[in-house]
Amino acid sequence: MTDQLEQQLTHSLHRQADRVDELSQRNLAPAAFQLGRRMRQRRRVGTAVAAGVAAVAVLVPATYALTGGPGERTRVEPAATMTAPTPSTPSASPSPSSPSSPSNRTPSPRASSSVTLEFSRLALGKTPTIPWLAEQQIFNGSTTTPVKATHPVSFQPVAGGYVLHDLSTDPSRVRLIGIDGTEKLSVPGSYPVVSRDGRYVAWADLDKGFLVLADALNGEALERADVGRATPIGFLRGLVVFTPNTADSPNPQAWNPETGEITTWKGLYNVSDVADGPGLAAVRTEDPAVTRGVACSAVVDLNASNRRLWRTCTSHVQWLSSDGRYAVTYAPEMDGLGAREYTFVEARTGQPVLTLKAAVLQNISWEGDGRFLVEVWDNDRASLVRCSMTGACELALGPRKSPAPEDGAPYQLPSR
Amino acid sequence: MTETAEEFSAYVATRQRALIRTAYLLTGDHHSAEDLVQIALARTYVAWNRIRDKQGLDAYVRRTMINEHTGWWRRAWRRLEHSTDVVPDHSTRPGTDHAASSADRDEMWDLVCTLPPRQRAAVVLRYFEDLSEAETAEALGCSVGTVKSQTSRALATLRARLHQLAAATTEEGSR
Repeated sequence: MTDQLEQQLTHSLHRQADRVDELSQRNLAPAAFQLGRRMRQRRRVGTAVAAGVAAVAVLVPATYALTGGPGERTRVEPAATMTAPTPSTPSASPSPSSPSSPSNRTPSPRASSSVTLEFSRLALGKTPTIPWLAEQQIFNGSTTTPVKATHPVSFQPVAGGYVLHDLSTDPSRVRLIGIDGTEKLSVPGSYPVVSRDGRYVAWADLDKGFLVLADALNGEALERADVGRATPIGFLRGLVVFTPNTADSPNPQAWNPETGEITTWKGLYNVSDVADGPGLAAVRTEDPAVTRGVACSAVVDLNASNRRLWRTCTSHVQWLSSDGRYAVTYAPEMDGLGAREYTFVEARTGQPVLTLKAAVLQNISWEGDGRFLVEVWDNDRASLVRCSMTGACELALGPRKSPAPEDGAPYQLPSR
Repeated sequence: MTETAEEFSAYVATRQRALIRTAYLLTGDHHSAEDLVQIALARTYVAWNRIRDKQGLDAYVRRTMINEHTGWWRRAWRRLEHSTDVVPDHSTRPGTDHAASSADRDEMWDLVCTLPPRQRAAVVLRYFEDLSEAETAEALGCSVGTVKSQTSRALATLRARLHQLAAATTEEGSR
């Protein structure tokens, strides 16, 4: 069976590749030349900047406006003059002589820890103090909640239970379940996000082009907004931040469910994460489709007129801790299997604090007191590892093989 | 034209077609494939003088393409659920000639497109590029063991889903 399957697979791949020849092909050399020269120029500029200041933590007095009139879509100019971003290359190209070496990490201006995670060298500590999902059950302290869904499913805790993003159906569904597993709501939807107090959940209905706000306790739909296809990012002071999925609306936007106001966040390409309490946002400042792959990241202080605190073009700022103390960054160019290195930095300054390395690193959730859990893979085994920001790490759950032939992890942390 | 530019142009002229074929299998879209190859070539041009082993250029460009493609995928990390467990619709109707139907539709390709990106890359490198496990591991920047497990998972998934499709066809035919 395997031989036949492999033959069928090989035949299919060659057949599809042959189709490419039927399509028009332009000569890519001139464009690659041009792009390569621009990359070199940017690299020179980037090098010059890095020589003077630590590029990973550049304090930039730029602000992004987040304002708008009720009930209308507004495209607002920056509140203060903003210098056009000067992108540098996202990272050094992989070196043929050392293909797995980390890309151009900007030198830290002060010492930070670096830890390489290997299962065999980690002691087994206490189980996670935050919910985790395994074998169709969510474990949280002494409670266990059954989840009637096969992989893949992601979950987040809400008031009175959990919200699930069930990808085992097409279209995917948003489901609300109680602590005992009782289903309160199941509707077509994608990318649920939860308010800081857990009382509200919002998601995208991609078929209808709606954002929906619902009461997390009973699933009652409270408000809808016709925004087209969009990806919710998170709640921010009562607003639902989202990224439109259409090319004509590239900027992130915010929906105020109380007023119906939709506000465009001018000058940004994307919002990666928001920390509602401390008022920080991790953002992308360039559209890589326009800048040919270059994407700079920044952290914005929402309590200071959305002032940009620091910016980097050598790594992506992907997550913020919920207390706003730390941000997690990774190199934009990785190997074909996922991140091998996460660098934790101080969210307000970009100063590196801790670098984690492993075969493959995935989702992160904070337990509190500066400790976090991370999903770590080594070959076909995965584990949840707990670390402190000093670099002390232990296994929160021992390594296990994935139960499914698909790509489902044996353990899952809450999605963000 | 400088020596570097001449060498680079000659390389692109020789290898562009093959690179786009591989990129197409990674992305599933012709325009994205061209973009991917263009960016990989540009990075190769920038690194040209540092690449001492010109015999290894293909491996270098391949690895850069996979890195770049993974970057695209990661930038849309909230949509990493692009890969799906849902078996694509089966268009074969009872009474139709299966051979004629499969000429228009490539079920295996449909299923390959549902694989997670890293499994898909492993499959493309192993079964299209015909790379060894060690070469695939080098291209993906991982261990040989990981290549084995990823490939094995991909094949298991494809096999299971083909069975699902076959069962669905049988069920439709018996109605």
